[in-house]
Amino acid sequence: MGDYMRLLAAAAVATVAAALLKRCGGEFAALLAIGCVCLLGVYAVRTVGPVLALFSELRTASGLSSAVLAPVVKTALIGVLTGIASAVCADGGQNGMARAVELCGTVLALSLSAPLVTAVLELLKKLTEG
Amino acid sequence: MDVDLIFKIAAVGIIVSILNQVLVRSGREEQATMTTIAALVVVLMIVVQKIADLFALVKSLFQF
Repeated sequence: MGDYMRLLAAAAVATVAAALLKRCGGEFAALLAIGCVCLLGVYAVRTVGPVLALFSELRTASGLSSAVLAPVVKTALIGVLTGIASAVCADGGQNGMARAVELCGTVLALSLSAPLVTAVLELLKKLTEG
Repeated sequence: MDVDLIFKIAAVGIIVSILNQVLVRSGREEQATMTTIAALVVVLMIVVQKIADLFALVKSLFQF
């Protein structure tokens, strides 16, 4: 909790400093934003570890295979990462790059969830045949 | 948590902005540009290390 409050304060300071730095050329403001995003991201990833361990335990308890739950978690991660990367690009004034990042994230999420859709289709085929 | 990174980048940015203004006002635009680029490279190297840390952690998450 203490780390979180410290990071929130640092993010507020970084926002003010970025607004100041934007007036004298936006390069340092963009770098400051990226640095702040990295710090917060590292904190979030380190904190989410126990939650993923809980997911893993739940998966084991429910008897689901890893092939079913992994795409769901990975797609959620890709969505979060894509949103952050796209917002960073948009903050830097690169809206085209932001859209391209979103497109890549969408395509990657689709390609990750494709095996699940295939499995559902095969199940439906078996049900209709049998 | 390495919160000092934010203050470090902000401090470098503010100092370089002041230096840039001083050099431009005294008619040394080339030196001002070079100063800005050098500081950008320094800050970029710091940030790139943090980005690499973040990417390594995210990579470990994708091993789920």
